[in-house]
Amino acid sequence: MGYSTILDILASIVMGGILLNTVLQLSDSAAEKTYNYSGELSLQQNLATVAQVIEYDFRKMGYCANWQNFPDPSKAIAAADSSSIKFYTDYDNDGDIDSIRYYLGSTSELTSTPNPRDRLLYRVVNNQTPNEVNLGITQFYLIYFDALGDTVHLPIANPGIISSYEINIRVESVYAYDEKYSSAYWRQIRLVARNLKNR
Amino acid sequence: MSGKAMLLLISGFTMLMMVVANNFNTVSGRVTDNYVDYFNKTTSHNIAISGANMAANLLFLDSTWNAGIPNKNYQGGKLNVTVQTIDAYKNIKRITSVGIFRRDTSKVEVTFAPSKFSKFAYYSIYEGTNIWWMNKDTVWGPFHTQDILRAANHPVFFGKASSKGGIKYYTNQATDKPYFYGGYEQGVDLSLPTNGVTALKTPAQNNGLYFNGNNSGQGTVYLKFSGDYLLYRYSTMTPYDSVHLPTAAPNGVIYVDNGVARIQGTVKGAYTIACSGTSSGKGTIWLDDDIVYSKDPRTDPTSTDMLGIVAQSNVWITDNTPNRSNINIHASIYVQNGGFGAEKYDTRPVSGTINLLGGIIQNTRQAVGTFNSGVIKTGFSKSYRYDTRFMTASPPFFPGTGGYEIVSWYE
Amino acid sequence: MNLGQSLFAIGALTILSLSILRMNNNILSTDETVMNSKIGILATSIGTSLIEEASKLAFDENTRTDPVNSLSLLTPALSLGQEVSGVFDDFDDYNNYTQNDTIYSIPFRTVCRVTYIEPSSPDGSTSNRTWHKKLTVKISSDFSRDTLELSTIYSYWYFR
Repeated sequence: MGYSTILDILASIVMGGILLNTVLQLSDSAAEKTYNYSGELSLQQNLATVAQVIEYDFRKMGYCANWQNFPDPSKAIAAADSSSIKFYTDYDNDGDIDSIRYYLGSTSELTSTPNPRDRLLYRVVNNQTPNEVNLGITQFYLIYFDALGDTVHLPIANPGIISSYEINIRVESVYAYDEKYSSAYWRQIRLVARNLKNR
Repeated sequence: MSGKAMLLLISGFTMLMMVVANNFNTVSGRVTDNYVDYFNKTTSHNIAISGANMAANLLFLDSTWNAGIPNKNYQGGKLNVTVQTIDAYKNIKRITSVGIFRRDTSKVEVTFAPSKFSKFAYYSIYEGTNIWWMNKDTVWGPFHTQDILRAANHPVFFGKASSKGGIKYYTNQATDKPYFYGGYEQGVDLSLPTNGVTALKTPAQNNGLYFNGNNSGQGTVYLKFSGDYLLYRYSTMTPYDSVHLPTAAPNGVIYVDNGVARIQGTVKGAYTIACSGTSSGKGTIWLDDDIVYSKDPRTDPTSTDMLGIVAQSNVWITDNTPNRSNINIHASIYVQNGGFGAEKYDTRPVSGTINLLGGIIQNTRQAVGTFNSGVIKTGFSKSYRYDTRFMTASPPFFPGTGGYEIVSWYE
Repeated sequence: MNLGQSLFAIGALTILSLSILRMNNNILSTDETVMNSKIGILATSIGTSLIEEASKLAFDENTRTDPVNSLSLLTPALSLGQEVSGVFDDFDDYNNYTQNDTIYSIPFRTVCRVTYIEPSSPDGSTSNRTWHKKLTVKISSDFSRDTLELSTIYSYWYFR
């Protein structure tokens, strides 16, 4: 009789342990997934936001509501580099020409997030105070092409040579569970600002 | 008691998991919303672009088209295109294409304005079989040729370039390709109108200055611009008469009908001088000396001086003493049947440089000098600069292309 | 432990089992949804890129270096496609073009189709030559059940 009691106790300890282990694993999994899903949601929202802002601005390169204020769209790009670009556009559609500059900051500027690779993407309108875009961007680089479709090599002395370009953006989650950062990549090949083909 | 306790414990745990699961469901919904929103915006944009393309084609085929494309189903959404004349006096039109997909709307607006030949820094119909654009050649404004663009050793084009034919390389693309700093388009057919010169006759007769070359003794007219006045005579043996140009030609058109015009002087105001005729040297404008603006727009951006030289046959730089040491020309030159060149380009002495501020629109490219191993032997070397004001303005009644150009594209 | 307590215990364990199962299902379905959304955004980007790339090219092989003023001079509908394999120099070279991309180990397969369309019926297609072509891009992935479809209409025009 004593042996069966001990066996019962042992068996219940084992079964209880298995149950407890299962529950703890589920709890841990739920916690991890909660973090990951939040991070993934932020990541996808950030990516979509960045893509839409970039598309909105870049498609208006060389545009002016009063075209006579900017009659030669071939001069729309003021400066171009692999991770920065400055161009003229009429961002508020008031007929006056404005400038927009995008450039990527360094990793050392963004120390408040755990992700060591994320950087600030700056958007500067008309030489005003730069707007910092903290959307987990880890990569922002541009490739330029001339009118005949050949790649334009850097540095670019005269940005007028640029006829089209490719934008590459990589976004990562700024926080991660167990340092496993999610990432997503967006690329727009040869996004052509149609105003560059005018006149 | 232990069973109840277990049940309570498990129930509590289950409720906690339900909260977590609810959070997961929220995330599922939001990521899907985010993706669908991006897809919807992209699709509505594609619909709007498609509408703009179709409408641009319809306007290209028929410049009077204004029916629009009302409410077409496309890609599961709606496409709606309207055409408006936003400036009836200047005949400026706008196509507005709206793409609607689910809850998203995108708009594309394309604005068209009549295109003038004066906007070109260089235009030609025929380039000649062995004339190449080379590394020392720079075109500072819009360029077009109805011929093939022959390129050797990287010529430079700062404005938008286009050609009806393609590009022909002297050796290959790597060693010869042009540098297009304003873009390039080929397969573009833009011919000169047949009445580009004669269309100025009526405006000249009505509200301009008209010289009838058919009158006896008036086949050649010597014109000298002198500020607000135009000096004219029909023979070098007679003194000049003068007219007050703003009064005599309020619309800015000076027309020599079936004759020859010889011009020089300082232009004040905006004028177009045209010369018609095709036989016996008629329809030719001779540049007897400098013809420049009273205010150079390069040094005085407020200058409103502007000149169009429009000839049916040719525009020649006269071989004479005043033109032996450079010639300065401020004008957009248009030649219907021939071209712009230097008289006796291959025998006249070395005459310096043609300093042109404006543009050249001609049927056939003409020579202005001869060279040997890069050294000038006869005639002129060239320094052609584009008058950027011609991007937005043109001399009075300067020939138009008969079609539109896109002046802005909003999307 | 009496029978009632045992039944409570069994009931509790059943609830726990169901709860764990439900939770795992939820996690798996959320994983799938999140993955599908991410694939959808990437696929949209791939499709848009391809459309933009095609929209840079000439309308037709025969309009590449010379203007065309008659529909009969355009490429017949049955001949739309690459004239020279691997060379993309006009819009309809993307007809029957297939592209495979791999982004973060996710394989994407893009299939393109180009047809002529009548402006009165942009959703359809026609075997007649017209001044309008439609490029339909379908992007699919082995990791997603959805196939994304994007499309654009490209027409023949130039303004100079």
